[in-house]
Amino acid sequence: MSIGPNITPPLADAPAADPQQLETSRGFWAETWLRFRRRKLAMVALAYVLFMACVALFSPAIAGTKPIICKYKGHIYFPALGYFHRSWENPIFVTDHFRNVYPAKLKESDPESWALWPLVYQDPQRRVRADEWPDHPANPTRDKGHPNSLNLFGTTRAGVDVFAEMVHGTRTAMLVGFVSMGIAGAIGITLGAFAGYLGGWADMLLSRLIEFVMCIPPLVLILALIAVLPHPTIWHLMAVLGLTSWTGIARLMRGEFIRLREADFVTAARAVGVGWFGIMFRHIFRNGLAPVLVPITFGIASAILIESALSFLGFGAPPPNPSWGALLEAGRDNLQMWWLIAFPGLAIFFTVLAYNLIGEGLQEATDPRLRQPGN
Amino acid sequence: MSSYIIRRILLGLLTLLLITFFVYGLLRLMPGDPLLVRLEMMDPGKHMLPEDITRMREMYGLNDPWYISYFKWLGKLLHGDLGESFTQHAAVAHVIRERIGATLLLTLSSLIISYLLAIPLGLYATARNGRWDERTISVLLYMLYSLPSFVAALALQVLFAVQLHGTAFELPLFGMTGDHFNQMSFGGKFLDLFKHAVLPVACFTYGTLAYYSRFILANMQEVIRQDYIRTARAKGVGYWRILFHHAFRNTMIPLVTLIGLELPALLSGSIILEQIFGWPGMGKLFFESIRMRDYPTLMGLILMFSVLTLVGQLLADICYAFVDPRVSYE
Amino acid sequence: MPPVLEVTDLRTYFHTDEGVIRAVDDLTFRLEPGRTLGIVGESGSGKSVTSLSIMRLLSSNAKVETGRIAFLGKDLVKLPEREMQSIRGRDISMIFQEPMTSLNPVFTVGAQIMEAIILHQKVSKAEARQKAIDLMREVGIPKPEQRVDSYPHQMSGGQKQRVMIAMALSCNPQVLIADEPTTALDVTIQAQILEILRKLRDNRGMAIIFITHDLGVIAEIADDVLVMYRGEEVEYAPVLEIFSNPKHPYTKGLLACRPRLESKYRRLPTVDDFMQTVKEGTGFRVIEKKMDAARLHHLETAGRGRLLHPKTELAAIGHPWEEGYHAPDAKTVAEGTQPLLAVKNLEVHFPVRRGILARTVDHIRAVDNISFNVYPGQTLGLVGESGCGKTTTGRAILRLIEPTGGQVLYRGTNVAALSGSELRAMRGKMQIVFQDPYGSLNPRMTIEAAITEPMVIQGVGANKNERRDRAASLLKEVGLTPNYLRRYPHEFSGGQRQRVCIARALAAGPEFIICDESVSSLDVSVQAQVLNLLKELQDKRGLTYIFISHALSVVKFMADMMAVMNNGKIVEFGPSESIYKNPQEAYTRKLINATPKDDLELIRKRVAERAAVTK
Repeated sequence: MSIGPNITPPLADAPAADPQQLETSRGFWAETWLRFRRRKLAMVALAYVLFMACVALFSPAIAGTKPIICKYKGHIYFPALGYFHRSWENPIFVTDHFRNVYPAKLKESDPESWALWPLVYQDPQRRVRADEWPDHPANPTRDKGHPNSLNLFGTTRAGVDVFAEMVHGTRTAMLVGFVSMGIAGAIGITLGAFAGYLGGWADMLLSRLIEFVMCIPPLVLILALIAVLPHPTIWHLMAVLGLTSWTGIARLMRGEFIRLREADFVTAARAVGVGWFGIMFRHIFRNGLAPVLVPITFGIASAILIESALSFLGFGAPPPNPSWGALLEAGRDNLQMWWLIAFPGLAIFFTVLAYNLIGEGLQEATDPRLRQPGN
Repeated sequence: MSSYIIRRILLGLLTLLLITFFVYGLLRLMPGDPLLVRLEMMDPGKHMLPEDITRMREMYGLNDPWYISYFKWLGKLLHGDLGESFTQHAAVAHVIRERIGATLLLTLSSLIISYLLAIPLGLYATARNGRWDERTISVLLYMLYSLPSFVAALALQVLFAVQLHGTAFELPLFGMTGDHFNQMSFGGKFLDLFKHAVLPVACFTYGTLAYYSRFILANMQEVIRQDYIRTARAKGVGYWRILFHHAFRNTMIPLVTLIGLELPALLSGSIILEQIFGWPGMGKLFFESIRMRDYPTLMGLILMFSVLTLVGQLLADICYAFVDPRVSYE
Repeated sequence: MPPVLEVTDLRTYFHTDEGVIRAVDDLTFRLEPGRTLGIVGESGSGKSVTSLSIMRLLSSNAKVETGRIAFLGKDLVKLPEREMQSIRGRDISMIFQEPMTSLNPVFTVGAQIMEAIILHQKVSKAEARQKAIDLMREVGIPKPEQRVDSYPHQMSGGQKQRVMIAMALSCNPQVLIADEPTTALDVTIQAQILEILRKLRDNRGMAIIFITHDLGVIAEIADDVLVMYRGEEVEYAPVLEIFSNPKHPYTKGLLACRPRLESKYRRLPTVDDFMQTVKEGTGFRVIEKKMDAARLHHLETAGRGRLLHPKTELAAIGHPWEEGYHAPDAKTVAEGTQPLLAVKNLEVHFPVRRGILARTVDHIRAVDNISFNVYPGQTLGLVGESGCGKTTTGRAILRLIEPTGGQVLYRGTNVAALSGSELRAMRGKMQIVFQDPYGSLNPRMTIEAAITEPMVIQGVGANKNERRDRAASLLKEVGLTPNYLRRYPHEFSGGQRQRVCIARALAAGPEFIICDESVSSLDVSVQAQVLNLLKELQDKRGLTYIFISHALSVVKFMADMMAVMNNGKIVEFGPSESIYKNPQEAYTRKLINATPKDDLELIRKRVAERAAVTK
């Protein structure tokens, strides 16, 4: 039973050391990292997120039907980059009528050619037909596409490989999290910092603005904003997510600035003549940033969640963009095809969980009450 | 206190005006208007005469610039009239009233269940802090908290509607009532409603439950570190009384804010869950309205939501003053 | 008499990530009914841990390793939690240091006192309430019938501490443990609380363990004294013995290093003058040092004597210069000297806003029309209790708070009217050292960054290397080693941090420094070192100080001229010595009387009185 305040004996004077040698001590972030590392679950979550980031980055090399690198008519090409953006695929393959079927066409048009292929020959956007690849039958369609050795996570009704679509969908999920929270963080931190530091009218205006954004249900605002755009892309979606989810960050930042504005070390800085810019950024911002990282991490989790929910409702990125949520939507109409629900569902769940765990770990690692006084 | 409340209400009215103005503009700027949407959906065999279209545009007020329409809408609102729904040919107030019951059934039961479970769960976890059962509960709650509701909804549908199909545990997939609801006896009606509500309520509840329990746990852990808890122990107060009487009373303070913020969610329901379960509530109404560009209904819904949000915040602040004797709005 | 509490070989250790901390190491004492044991020591000495060990209220990372705590023969260490619970509050009660946080904010004070009564006694609610009201009356809370329904936040700190005492007394305990009960309170309130405790002890025959860092308070209340140092007991003797004939060098040091109201020292002795500790295995060993005559002479004669205002001005403020009345080494500033700082009719008002439009309906006059001069090389003391406006005055002089009215003339320039860039240049000349050494250094900046920042702004030093060299020599000047430059503040103790703050204040080469309660949160032995440092720096650099403190004895030691503040006004202004010797105002007299005294005559008198009472 341990209730009541925690008392730990105070520090004695720092040890007198060799006066010749300059001593360095760990800075705040090194200390935070040390504390974060002690939390096993958070570390596992971090490893998972890093792994997913790698999957996203190397998705065309993991699953695809375009060579990672090939030599064709005397030139070296990287057709797989076309999965990132269509224009990154050299137009020669279009003019030579490849129609996205590389293995046969390569040999046919240039017998001298060679190619390095992705790990899994499956495409996230179309069905792989019979004999595109040696000993590879056509992907099953309708509800026959149970997971098997060629289609690890099964196929959709149209015969598109679920594994390939999920690998490429990782890109969307990772990007959505980072970009939208990057936008939200930038807006929230700036507005919160100025409102907190300036107080008075600026603060009053920001508080109204926050109230304003909060009064509109988030999904409503997002749906309406997306609907305004004639041709929404995944980037628009991220921008909209960022524009609607900065309020929590702004409030926290505002609170930190209000709290730290009155701190003695800030008064001390004012007393030596540090200007408002130096006070805000050299002194307050550095101390107020750590608590804001926590809602940003949680925000990444919720951005991923909202993106997949939107795709699920049919408001997500337009069709050629593979997305976990879109797979789930397909599963909703075909409940007996459990693999359309289980795999993307688990992927979303684990990713959200991982970010939440990282956020929790960060929270404890940066919590001033768990650290030595003043640190 | 009263001058504080009046101040807040005045500010709230200003915010409302801004919100409705902004949202109205946003809605009208959405590509497609109700007529175009309806034309797309209409039987290709039928045609609408151009003069009919003009007549209907006139009737819906779509020919005016949006800010003029907004002030017309506002003018009607001041007389208590939310306008007519474009799609349902009924007053917006009536359309909304029809759907409120279904949503309240979902949200209220979920709210009650999550509070009933979260408080004992949070207190138990506090009392067992650091032991294996608290660890297990915490991890489970964390996983529930991270589980997206639409994933859970689909998984439950697969389980209860597909895998358990034909067994006694089979639950209906969609809707709020069965096919012959009107012919059923009272008990039959109740059972039917219950069967339809189990899955949506479960999906609605678990996330809130996990969030509240973790919230209570975190706040309790904070509170039991306070000096006054040590004072209570020094008086000779027992462990459980300290938890329930001294610590929980202080944890109530942040909990009250949560309840205030919960108010709008009570009536807005959930777009995604109502969509999945075909639940005829407010969320579904909203989703349908946005797809059909039913401006009056959308505006009615957003107005209701904004009012509830503002009232909820105000209520939370007022409750604060009741729970925390240190707070007063003089 | 058989002891009511007997502690034998108590060892309490903390198990932390950094290793085992021996918070209490081999402690033995006994407490007889009706007597008061004072436990004195500095932070980290283990005195609070001792009390928490007795109450079994230690946090989970601490454990009583060995030893016996016998309460009327029962060993509390081994007692089941349930039985311990019934002893707490009924037989042994406790008062804590922080009255602000030690009461539950959501319950009325009456309910909190009643809870203790109902827990341990078979009484009805109405009876308990009546008892609570009686107890509140006994501890001196006015109108207890009404105050019983007040919430803690509606009471002042002193009243909350009275409520804590009432709660602790509610079941007539045999032992009362008071852990720094007056540290957070003003001296006048402290005097009242001590009076209440003395009265209660005599009326009820309670045994009290009184824990404090303040030897003056110990002299006022204790019968026996236990001195602790780094978890160990260094001396345990009756109070008169401790003050008249201290045996252990640490006790001697502790007694000598406090600035006392009647002290003649110009520099304070420090604990280091009496002893030296050397590490030995896991513990330490104390080696006694002899204070030689040369050192003593240095302490009495180093630096200058008091430097008073010009004679005409002294006469004008009602403390005219009289030959033979002042200390022989006291001097006055030459007539016609321009004051370095002249504060004229300074006002700081804070608006009180109310109503729907948040209109200003009233003002709090934090600083209410005050005027004074400070001459070059002088130290002006500002003394007063919390909320008197002394800190606001200091900050308004530096324009860290905007003054509402009046002038602050620094060498004739009105600081209150300076524009941004002029003010910035002026900040190089005027500096401040704050109270809280933990809060006043930016935790994300190394010591080097903290000290060089003012240099960059004020254009001191041509480049980074030069500034670093300057910072290194500043560190040496304030008694730290330059190899700390790259470290962050959190690795330093309070005293070391305060030295860094002083180095930062000196960085731009100021001529005027405001010390705002700069030593108040330091241990006495460290406080003595920092006070000496401030005096040395003044001699060496010709600095002018405004020294702000709530402690009259510290201000009297430091300041040439003293201003006593109350309710935003200067109540009395004059030479420190004169004000102490011959206070003119009732408020000043009250402050002086409330300051704990430890001269031997007084202690002897009290011991004799106590002996008469207990006979």
